[in-house]
Amino acid sequence: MTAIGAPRARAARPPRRGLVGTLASTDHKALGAGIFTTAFAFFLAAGVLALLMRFELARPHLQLMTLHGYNELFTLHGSTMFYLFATPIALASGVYLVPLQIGAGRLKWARLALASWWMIIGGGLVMWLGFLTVQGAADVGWYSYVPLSDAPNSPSVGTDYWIVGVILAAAAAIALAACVLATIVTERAPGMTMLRLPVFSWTMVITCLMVLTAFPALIVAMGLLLAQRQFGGVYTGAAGAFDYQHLFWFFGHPVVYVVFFPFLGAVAEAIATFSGRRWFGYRPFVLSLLLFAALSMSVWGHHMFTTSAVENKYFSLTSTALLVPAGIEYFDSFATMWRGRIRLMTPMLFALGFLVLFVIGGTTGIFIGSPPLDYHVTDSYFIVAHFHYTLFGGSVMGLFTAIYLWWPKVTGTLLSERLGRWHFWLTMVGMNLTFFPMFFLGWEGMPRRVADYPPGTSWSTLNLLSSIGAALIAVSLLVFLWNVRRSLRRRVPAGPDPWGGQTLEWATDSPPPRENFLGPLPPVRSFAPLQDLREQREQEVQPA
Amino acid sequence: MSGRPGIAFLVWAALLAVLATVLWAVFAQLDRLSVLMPAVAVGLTAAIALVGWRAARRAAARAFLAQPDPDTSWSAVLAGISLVLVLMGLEVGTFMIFIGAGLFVAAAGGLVREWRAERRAR
Repeated sequence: MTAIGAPRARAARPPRRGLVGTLASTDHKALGAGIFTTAFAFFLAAGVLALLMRFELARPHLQLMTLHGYNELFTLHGSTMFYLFATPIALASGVYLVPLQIGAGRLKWARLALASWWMIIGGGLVMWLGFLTVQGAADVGWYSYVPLSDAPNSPSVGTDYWIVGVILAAAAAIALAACVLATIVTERAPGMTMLRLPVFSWTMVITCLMVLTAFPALIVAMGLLLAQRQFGGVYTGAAGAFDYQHLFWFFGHPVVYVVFFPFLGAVAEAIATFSGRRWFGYRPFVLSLLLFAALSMSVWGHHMFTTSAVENKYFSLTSTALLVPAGIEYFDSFATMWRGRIRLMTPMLFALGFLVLFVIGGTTGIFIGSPPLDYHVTDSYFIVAHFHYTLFGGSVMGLFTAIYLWWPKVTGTLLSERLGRWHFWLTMVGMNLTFFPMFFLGWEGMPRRVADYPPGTSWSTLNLLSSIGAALIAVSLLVFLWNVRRSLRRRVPAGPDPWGGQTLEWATDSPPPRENFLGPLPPVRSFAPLQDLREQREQEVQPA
Repeated sequence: MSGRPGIAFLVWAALLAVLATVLWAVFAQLDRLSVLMPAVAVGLTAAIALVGWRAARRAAARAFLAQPDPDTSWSAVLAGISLVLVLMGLEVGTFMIFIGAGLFVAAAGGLVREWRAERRAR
């Protein structure tokens, strides 16, 4: 306790490298933080584009922009969110945390990871550079279907820049995934077997496997699209269009899970930590993760139900089967909390928010995994609502779980609980107000990707509600940024383990030293070594 | 699976192979397999490679030491930027491809120097 009048203790700062040292650092912590910050900056930029779109849609008719301008906004919003924010930030979490969780002193192939960071920065700048060209940025949507995206239909240079940016971001993601996976395979501490990997690290194993197998298809699709635009003759006719869609969606569906699994891992760690219990059903959970990922690699055709070019029954079967591993994960979550000593602190609130919102995203996914229902809502706002419930409700809520959980470890300081709660509730209300009305809009037939709609329908009210919700999300992010600023200025010391964590990263200082662990590591006898020690101590102090 | 990362890859490849088999046997979708099978191949290759490599890991585990990397690598930064320039050159012009390629060669030279210095230090 601080004595009255005594100066308040301040947390130690991470070692200062200066800007130049940070930009070329091969320390996985500086690297992870750098990629994370870059991706978060892209998140804010894409969020501004979303706000502009929602302001435009708040009322019928065009107010703020042209139709072409609107097309540019939704293209760059989706592309930035997927290629420059969600995937990099998911992998950045692994770059920072995995070596700490497995007791390693470094990231394998750190130079490759460093080059990847610069490729993400370069790819993002190239993508956004399109706004400075005469014909504007890419306007073909984040999946840029052929023939809409070929040269005669989309002649803008901005589209070429966009393709180059996507290739760079995808190549960087593959390289980062290789680094994280190689670290897990080669750098684990003695005793840290594969079935003693912490839950978050296991989700990173699965994420990296998916990136390594799915992202090359995106690079091929984009490389061939660039060749199609320059020379023609690659994606010709209807068969060419379908070939492009197959290649794209073989990446495009797994990427949803790539940006979901790491945050599922973060949520699992938060639930276990704030329930005071180890994660329930570890081995079935690991197996369900593998099954989840394998199934999600085999559902890409459900994005093409309406083309009649895929076997709908197979892709409907695999899409519906996703319920099984998802159910196991929900069961494990609730079983972990059951009879636990639950502490409703900010990371736990976001973890619970994740569970609630992802149920809506997941069940509506099963709904549109049925071809007859998909025929009705395809390319409508229903789809927009569904994937925002999975991506915002799942990934972003999970991301904030991770941020609030590991912020003390990364910075050595605590975030304000009061502001964290404000952030959580504003996000929950704003998120639901923004995206829930979209289910009704889609069901009533409002197509996605339109800047205008007829007045005098129920669409007006629903769109207005949605836009108000988007403004609330913006306010919630301002609260979060204020919390971050406040934390970094006040520097209230967090200590090595402020939450009672269960994995090895909580056994070292906050922020961790350059070598990660200065003393000997605690013995690793399970996936929760610190929980083992805690339980051992409790048994020792109990009277016989 | 304990201590054998290769088995994780093998399970992954097996699950994908089962799904691919269903696609082939039940739905006779041969052309779709061309997209799914490379993923199976990647998983299998990684599994086989890891089984072969495991013996080497045992020796490394005996001499386990948390080893941090050197603090900075400007060559890696240059390699990243040069790749950006090469790809931008596809749209901007050949001159940029040459600049990027030249920088990449310089970066590769720097990386080799760093690796050699690191090996000497160990």
